[in-house]
Amino acid sequence: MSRPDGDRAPRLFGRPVPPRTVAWLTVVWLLLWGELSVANVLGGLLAALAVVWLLPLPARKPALRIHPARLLVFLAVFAADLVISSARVAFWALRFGTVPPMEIVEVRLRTSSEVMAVLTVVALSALPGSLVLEARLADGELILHVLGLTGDVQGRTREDVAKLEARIVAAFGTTADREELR
Amino acid sequence: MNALDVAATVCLLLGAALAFVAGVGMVRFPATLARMHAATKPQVLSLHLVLLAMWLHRPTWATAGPLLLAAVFQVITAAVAAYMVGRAAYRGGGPEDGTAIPAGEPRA
Repeated sequence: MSRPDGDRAPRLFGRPVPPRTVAWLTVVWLLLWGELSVANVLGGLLAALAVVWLLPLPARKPALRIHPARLLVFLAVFAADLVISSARVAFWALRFGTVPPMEIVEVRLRTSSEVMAVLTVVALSALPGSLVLEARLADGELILHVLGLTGDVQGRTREDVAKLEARIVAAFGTTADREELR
Repeated sequence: MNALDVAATVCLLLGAALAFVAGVGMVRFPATLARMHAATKPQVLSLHLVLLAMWLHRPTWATAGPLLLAAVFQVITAAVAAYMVGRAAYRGGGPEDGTAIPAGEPRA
């Protein structure tokens, strides 16, 4: 995963065919068929090659390194977060007679990697109670709409985002990304 | 009815209850931005619960694949949709619920 995908990728009829993308598309194909057989693998490879060749993507720098143990930690904490924040939003939705507390919070990310920032935005957006309104990735600045939190909303949200970012970088970050957060 | 069926039923009912609460939130919450929380998020957990119920109903590798893909793409697309609508609501005049907008926002 250390070389630019697409830059030095093998070429087929004059177009780059990044092996990692082909592998991922083949896996998706196999998952959809739900059966591991020679015909499915070959069919998946053919379909993946056709897709990659017909719809080339711009080459991107390698920016993702999956650390399996920390990925499990991230997924476990994310699942717990999902349950807790869903319960929080459900509580406010069912609490008749009151308007849920909301606040706009500006958060600064510490990572300079665009991939890490995008993953953080996706994770934040999937959690109920936090809505990303604006992501200025160039400055690493996020504007969030927070629903259902009371007390020190600004401080708590900043702390939560910092922790989420740290878990994401630990699970997906390259060595350089990890150094940045030390 | 064995234990798996019971677990599947519980997941299915929980998922349906969450989807219902999301609907209640849609009606009750004031302003676009608050409604976005109800409109985009509970489906992530409720759909995952329903997918889990489907898998518990028929726990094989063959059914796990498509369900897993649906779960992953649900997280990604819900996040993008929430961001697009939230951003549009934020830029188009700001939140109408009286929450403070940071000075100089929104920037074009």
